Amino acid sequence: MDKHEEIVDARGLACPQPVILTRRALEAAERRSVTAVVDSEAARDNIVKMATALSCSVDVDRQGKDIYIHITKPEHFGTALETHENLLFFVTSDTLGKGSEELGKLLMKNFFYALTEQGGLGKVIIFLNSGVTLACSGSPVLDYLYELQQDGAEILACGTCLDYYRLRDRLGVGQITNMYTILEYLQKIPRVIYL
Amino acid sequence: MPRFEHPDLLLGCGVPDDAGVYRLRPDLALVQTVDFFTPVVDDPYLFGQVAAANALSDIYAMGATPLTALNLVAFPSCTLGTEVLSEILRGGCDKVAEAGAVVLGGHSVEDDEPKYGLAVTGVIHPDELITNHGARGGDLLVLTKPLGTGILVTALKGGLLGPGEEKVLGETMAALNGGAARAMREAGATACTDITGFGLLGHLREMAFNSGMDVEIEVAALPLLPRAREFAAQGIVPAGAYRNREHLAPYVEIVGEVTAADQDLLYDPQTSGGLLIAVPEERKGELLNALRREGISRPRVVGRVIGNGSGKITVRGI
Repeated sequence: MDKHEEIVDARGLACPQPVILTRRALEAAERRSVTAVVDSEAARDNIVKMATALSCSVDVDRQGKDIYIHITKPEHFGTALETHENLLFFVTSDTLGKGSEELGKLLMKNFFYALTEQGGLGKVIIFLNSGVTLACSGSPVLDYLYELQQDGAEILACGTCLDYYRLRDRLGVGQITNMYTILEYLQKIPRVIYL
Repeated sequence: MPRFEHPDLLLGCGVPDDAGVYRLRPDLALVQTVDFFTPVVDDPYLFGQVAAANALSDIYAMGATPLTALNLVAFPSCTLGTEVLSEILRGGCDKVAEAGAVVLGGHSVEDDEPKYGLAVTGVIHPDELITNHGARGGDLLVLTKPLGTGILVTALKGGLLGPGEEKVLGETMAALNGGAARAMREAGATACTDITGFGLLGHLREMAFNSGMDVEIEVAALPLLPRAREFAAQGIVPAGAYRNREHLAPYVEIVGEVTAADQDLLYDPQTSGGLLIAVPEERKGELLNALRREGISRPRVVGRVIGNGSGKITVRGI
């Protein structure tokens, strides 16, 4: 078998064995992809959750009683929360700094442009209040954010804020999150930059 | 199951509740329950304690006082050795003693997989019974133990828990609900049930349906065990949580942002979970103070009873 691929046969095993065996296989550094075979919906859902939390791409395929879950690791594997050099950008406004609104918008655009130069790995960007408009279609920095995300950054937008501004359908990048996750990130990541 | 009719049968198979109740005298009723399960932790003494706390909990959920208990044991004595069984029984007996009750004896059978639990008998004045069907519109819902034991037991089985987390999990499951029962009697609870295998939403559904009420739950108020949400997000979720969700989904409406991990926690089957107490809003402070006096550190108002309905549960996100 190709050493870059591995099949984890977790049929007949009770939770949490399927998800743990699959995670171990993914963590073996040289493998690019892992296929897990399970025969219960619970094991399937658990493995999909785990792989998604690790930013893997997942493809599920059912063959009779067996469920095949094909998982491909992202280029930079590992959860953002697990590395220690994380940086959190806490963006609570659509403009940068106090003063002219026009200038503030330009500065914000420049800021994210500059950030793309540094790459996205290890960065978490959380958008709150009017900051969420930056992650929505029509935003001047949407392309930069998309680039950062491709590069490994985790981008989160406050769901309550998107609802307030009626922008939920227009979110262009990242995931919708809630105050629990935001608080957890603020506490876990030692370096926070407030914008 | 066939139903029995008897003038002194106050609560039996026909009315699903935490324990059965039979009136002996106008001022005295028997409250009886039985529960046993397979080990949830490796330490046999802790398993005994957890199984006993879990069995006693059904008595407490009725507002009653436990008096006597009988051991129920299934054990592979050839493969596991009798010292393991002695430790399980010592754990169980210590818990029963802590509850102020006594173990009268028990029964054991040979089985490939160990199982342990107890049949428990308690007493109560029939007028002081706290059933799961007395909740009224406007009542607040208070939960006395953190959620997430099913998820953390799953993580423990996978070797993912640190010693600190394992200790908190063990202490939570082994904690008696006796203090919570005393507090709710004092504060005039209208209904109560204990949270076990059907998860918070499963037992809440039973309370809401039996009371003829609709209820709502705030995700932002749920007390959780350390790392339970993190493990849920990583797929360390017991199969029972998925079964619970399948059964309950038709009665549950999600409003706002509720993550998949938070939903898993709402359906997570609990081992020896806390009491879910309905209390009139004006007596909330009294209940919370009484619970804290009893040593319950994080009692939480997790939701409210909305009013007449058919047992619908609204879950509000954060």
